[in-house]
Amino acid sequence: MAKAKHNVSNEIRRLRFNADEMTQKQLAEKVGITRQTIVAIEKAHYSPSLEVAFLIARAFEVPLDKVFTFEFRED
Amino acid sequence: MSSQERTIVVSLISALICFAIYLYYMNDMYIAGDFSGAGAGALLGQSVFYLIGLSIIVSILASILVAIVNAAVTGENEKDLSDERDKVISLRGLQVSFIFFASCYISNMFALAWGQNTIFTIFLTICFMFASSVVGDLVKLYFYRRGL
Repeated sequence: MAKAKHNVSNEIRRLRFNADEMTQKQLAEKVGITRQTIVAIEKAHYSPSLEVAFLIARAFEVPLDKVFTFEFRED
Repeated sequence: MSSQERTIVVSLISALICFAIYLYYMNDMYIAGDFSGAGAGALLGQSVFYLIGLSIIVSILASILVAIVNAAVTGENEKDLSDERDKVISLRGLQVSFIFFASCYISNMFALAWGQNTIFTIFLTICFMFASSVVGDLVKLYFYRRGL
């Protein structure tokens, strides 16, 4: 039986850099979460809720799919 | 180390201190033969209340001490902010802690059914309570360090 694998990657690091080198702390304050959660999301150690994902996209003023990418593959 | 991780470490250390003190006194009482009489159950029950009091005092003192040391070393007064990730990690810790305690409790009941001493079984249940709290804290620390 084929095993499906999925992965959520993100562009937060690049978007922060493009947004006047916004710090993780500044982004965390804008979104209303802790800096540690931003770190975890950036490293793909944690997938945020839909609400937080939208808030992050809103902080950068870009659509959600410019921040997060969903990759799905079947082995 | 984030404030959440620090809180977990404080909780772990205070739990271990309390448990060490508790075991020390229980051992003294056992050697003195206090648990062989008719009032052994009442004595064990009272010891749980002393343990709860001790845990509250130790955790408050440890939290204050760590907050002062942290403020002195880092020079910042970090706000205790928590978000959805903290809640998920806390829930995972609670889940594992509950499963651990439930497994220990059931094995304890088996031991009781096979003729184990009642007082000893109650004492073991108290120990498992502490152990499950430590296991829950370790799981939370693991998730904070390694990610969910």
